[in-house]
Amino acid sequence: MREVAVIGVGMTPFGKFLSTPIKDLGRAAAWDAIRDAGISPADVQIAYVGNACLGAITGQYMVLGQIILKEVGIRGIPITNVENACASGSSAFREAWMSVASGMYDVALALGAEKLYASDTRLSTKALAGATEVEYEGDIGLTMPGHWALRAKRFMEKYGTTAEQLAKVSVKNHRNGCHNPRSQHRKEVTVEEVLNSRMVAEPLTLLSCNPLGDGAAAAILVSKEVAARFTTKPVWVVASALTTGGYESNREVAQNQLEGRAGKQAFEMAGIGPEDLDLAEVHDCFTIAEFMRVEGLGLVPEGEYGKWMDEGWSEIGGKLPINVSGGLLAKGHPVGATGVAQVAEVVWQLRGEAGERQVAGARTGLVHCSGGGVASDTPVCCVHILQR
Amino acid sequence: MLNEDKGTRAFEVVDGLPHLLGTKCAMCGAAFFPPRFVCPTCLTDEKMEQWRLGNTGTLYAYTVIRIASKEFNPPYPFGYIIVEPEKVRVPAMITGVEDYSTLKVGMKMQMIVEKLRDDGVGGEIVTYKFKPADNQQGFRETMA
Repeated sequence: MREVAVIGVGMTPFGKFLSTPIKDLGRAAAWDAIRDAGISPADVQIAYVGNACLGAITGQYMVLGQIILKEVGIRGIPITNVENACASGSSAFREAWMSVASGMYDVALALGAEKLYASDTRLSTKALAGATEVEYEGDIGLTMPGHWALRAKRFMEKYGTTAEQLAKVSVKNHRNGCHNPRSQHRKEVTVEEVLNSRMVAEPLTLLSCNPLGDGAAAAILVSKEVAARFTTKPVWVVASALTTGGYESNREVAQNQLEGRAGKQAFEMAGIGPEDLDLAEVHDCFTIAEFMRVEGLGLVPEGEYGKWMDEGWSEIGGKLPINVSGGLLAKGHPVGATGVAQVAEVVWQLRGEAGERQVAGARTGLVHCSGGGVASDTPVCCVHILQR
Repeated sequence: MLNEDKGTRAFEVVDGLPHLLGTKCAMCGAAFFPPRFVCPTCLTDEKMEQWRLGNTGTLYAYTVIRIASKEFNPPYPFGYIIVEPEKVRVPAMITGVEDYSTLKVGMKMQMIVEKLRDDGVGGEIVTYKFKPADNQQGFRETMA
């Protein structure tokens, strides 16, 4: 397997872009990544494009990648559309990584794009419920916030975690988002504001859930030889792991066993441990999700993230800064774009280009993205480790 | 192997009592709902039988969903019920509760079949739901 570097990233601001077609969002991100890498569109040999919800919202069920990439002059190459719920973008990134690591291609593009805002919010909610096993969950009233609310209730019962500790995830990530010019939310919130915002599914309030969002992000992945030609600041993909759920009917829903599997695989592949990380972008679609995932990945001992919240250990400057970009809670979560946007954040951090939210001297970062909720388990988990 | 003759219905009513329709592996004894036709433990379909699950259970976790697709008419409680005696965890809407604060983890639940929503063409779609059982004997306020 060959070494693979990320030499260019691009990302639109995340937010509400009702009058901007997804084609324009995707084109902007792809073009920024191409320019950032210093390559020509003609250099791109293969592309993977992540999207999850567009079909349900606009009827554009198919060939989105081909539609977007023709707008940056990318034609006549293999382009594959990738759907893996919230991890669609990370899965596209992984496919691009495999294409280069395998030796088949030298230059690959990973793009994620999504438009979730529709004229009726309930249409978006229904589209997102498509990340459950629809016949037995979404179709009988279970929403994604509902799935996480059930797991949050069980988590709080098992570990004694308080609503205030959960809310502190949103407070932290909103504070971080204030320093990210591409973040959808750039306003601090207090624990009281999080707890008193509109209830979505108990115990999760509106500010405990990621906002709907539109946006796109892209990355250029290349072989070592190509990287040497185009950049002096390559960021290496030192681990890639993708796994699925176990779906046992008697499993503990307060824990995410698949994150343990993906984390272990990624750390073994990178030859490092959680203690070697300088930062992590972890899929905080809901406050409870950051709790369960940092513990599942082994970044924080089981049942201890509440204490981390109280002590501020995952803040910038703490033991392990988590979601310095603002995370999904503040930066936003255009589903298919998220995984690639997380990569973009870590690339900027490792290059020392993250401005006010820079983690000083960051050398190694973990990117985690999971997706869906099936049979009280999570069906997709994708982890990458990046290093300069 | 396509099982068109079985497993296409989620529930059936027998002698006036509704039951979930799942499957059971006679090799390891595990029951499944939704029905599975290959046992994920034994990795075979040879001993998999259609199985009528019990219609009572225990509430494992619940929430009240307040924002949802309009056809479901939120708010409504939703939970995971561990169906007895098979101990299969089933996600389902909870009904028959006026004061949501009376819901407790560990309480005994009874399966019923009732209207889920209008079908949009003048009819209605019914499904399985669970309600707190009239008899709460054996209730423990924790799942430990």
